[in-house]
Amino acid sequence: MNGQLFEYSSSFDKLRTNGKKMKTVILGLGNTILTDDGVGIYVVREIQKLITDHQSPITIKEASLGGFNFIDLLAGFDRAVIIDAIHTKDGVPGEFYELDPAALNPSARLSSLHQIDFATACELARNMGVAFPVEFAIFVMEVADEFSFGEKCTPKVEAAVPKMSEAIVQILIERKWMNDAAKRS
Amino acid sequence: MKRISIDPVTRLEGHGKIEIFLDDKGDVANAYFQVPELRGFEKFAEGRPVEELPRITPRICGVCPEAHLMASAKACDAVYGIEIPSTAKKLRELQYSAFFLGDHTTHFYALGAPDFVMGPDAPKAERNVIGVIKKVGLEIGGQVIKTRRECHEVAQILGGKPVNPVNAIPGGMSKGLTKDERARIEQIAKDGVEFGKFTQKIFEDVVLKNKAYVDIIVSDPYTFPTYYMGLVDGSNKVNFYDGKVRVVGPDGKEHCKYAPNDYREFVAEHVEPWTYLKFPYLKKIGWKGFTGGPDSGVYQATPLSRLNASDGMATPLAQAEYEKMYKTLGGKPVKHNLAMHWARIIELLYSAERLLELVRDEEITGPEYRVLPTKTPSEGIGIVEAPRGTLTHHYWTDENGIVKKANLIVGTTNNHAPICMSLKKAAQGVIKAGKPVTDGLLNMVEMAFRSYDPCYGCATHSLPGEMPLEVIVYDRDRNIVHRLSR
Repeated sequence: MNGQLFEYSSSFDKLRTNGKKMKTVILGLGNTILTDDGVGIYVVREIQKLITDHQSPITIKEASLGGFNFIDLLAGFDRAVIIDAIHTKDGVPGEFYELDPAALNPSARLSSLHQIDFATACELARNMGVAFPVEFAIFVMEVADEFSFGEKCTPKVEAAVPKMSEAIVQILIERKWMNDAAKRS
Repeated sequence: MKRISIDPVTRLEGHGKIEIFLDDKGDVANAYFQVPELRGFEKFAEGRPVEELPRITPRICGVCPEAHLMASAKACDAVYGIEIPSTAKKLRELQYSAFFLGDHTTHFYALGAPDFVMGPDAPKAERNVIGVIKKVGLEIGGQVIKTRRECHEVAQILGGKPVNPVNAIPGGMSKGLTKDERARIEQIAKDGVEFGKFTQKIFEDVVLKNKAYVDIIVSDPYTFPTYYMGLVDGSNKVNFYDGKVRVVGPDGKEHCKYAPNDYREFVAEHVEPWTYLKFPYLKKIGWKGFTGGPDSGVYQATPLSRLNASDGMATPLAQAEYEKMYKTLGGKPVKHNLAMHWARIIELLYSAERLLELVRDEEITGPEYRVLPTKTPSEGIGIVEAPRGTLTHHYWTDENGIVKKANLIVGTTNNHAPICMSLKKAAQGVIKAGKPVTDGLLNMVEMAFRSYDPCYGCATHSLPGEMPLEVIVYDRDRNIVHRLSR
């Protein structure tokens, strides 16, 4: 699934900072035909179910893209929550955690092989005067297999999707990025 | 929830690796690269209705989805024995031209330009599109973003989605073009042509007027003669969407020209024990190992190969630039790998001109943009030029159109052997016994790799960015003497 598969936002917005309405996007990244790679997408779909349509100033997007496309996907938002798969050497499939956004700074040697990386896309957008998020939260889940074709996650990853979705919503409420009332009871 | 930082190269599974092995003296003995590869596509495709493949195959790759869409739709047309209406063909090529314009723009400004604008040995942190903008001016960044956005808008107009449209279907297109939509695309195409001209000017000012850079382009480490492949139209002009595959030799003479259906008579695949990736080669010449020249079946399929394999460009401005390139670099074929960047921006201009030409074509708003398949499906082959090389989709189905077998040769796979050899040659040229190996030198090795715009990146969107790459140099005892990660 790519681009803006579904999107909703509400005009009813109780969340304001210094009188400014803060627009938040939750972006799920991944490819749902590559086994666990689609986990970011599955998590945002689950988050969609956890929040109400009426009280949340939140936009949910899905994409299987990177590089320059981040600019198009995130432009116009003040805050971005990004959810993706990760596969580290000692990672335990199904474990999820928050990535330090500072780790995405170019000084951390993150250059891209094919396109521009996330940090460069952010810097480019800001240099070009594109309205771009100032705050980021990045959540990732450790996966087992993101290189085989398949439309279903491996069992441990699949089982962790609801837990991760619930945890992210809770964190966003605690950080006041999301209205408490936005959560379905 | 815990919060962590990660180092992509040392911690992430599945990164790319270039390994350089030195001999006793400290000169380069060999160079290899390895990348993670997607598995199991054939099995995944088996048992599905063939008309699903134009919707699925674009999702294989986040970088060139339209190339898979077009090759797949063409293979499906062939499976059902359909000749699609002229309007449908033009609509597909229109959409594909916009895709090429956007893709080549991304590649040149994000990957090609930084090495030349900032210099090959500039610090890594500056050698990127931000550095380019800081040095050459904010206007460039604005133009790049606008061009990309407008190319996505063409896809949105034609396919209902800005990226990964799925409107090319067996028998034609799912939707036609209205007069209003056509007017908007015409404006986008005009902007694209201006941007194409602007890009030639940047290349002229930044690269061609800098003798040191031209010297690097024509230098021996980046010069590598092989056969060259590309799709051509009836007049042997470059075409991305349709035509015959033409191959010329290192001497520029035609080796063969074949219709997509005959590809297996001309191309075979070699297997090596150290990688799952295959190495396609020209069957009639044969696999002679990792070597170039007229006696080796190794060929390249790149923007430069397409220009080498053709007799010219089908649009006037691109043709003028084509002539200029061959005049500057000493005639056809050009064997300098770094000239691929030049070829790519000539194609960028061509795709904008072609977009304008097609949108002004009277037939483009025609009502006949699809025919329904009526014949019994069996087997079909679709070939297009992807930005990174000739892309082949080959499907076999049963009489109900259920896929029995599928075979893809993707753009970068064509170039697998040439990339290995180019890497080795560049490494041998810049790394010398007794001279310290520096990050700047290793970047110059990587430039040979990067010029191909290699895209194994079917999995490139896993955070924290794109696929990390590591270059490791080993001495004769296999001790690591230098490591560069990015």
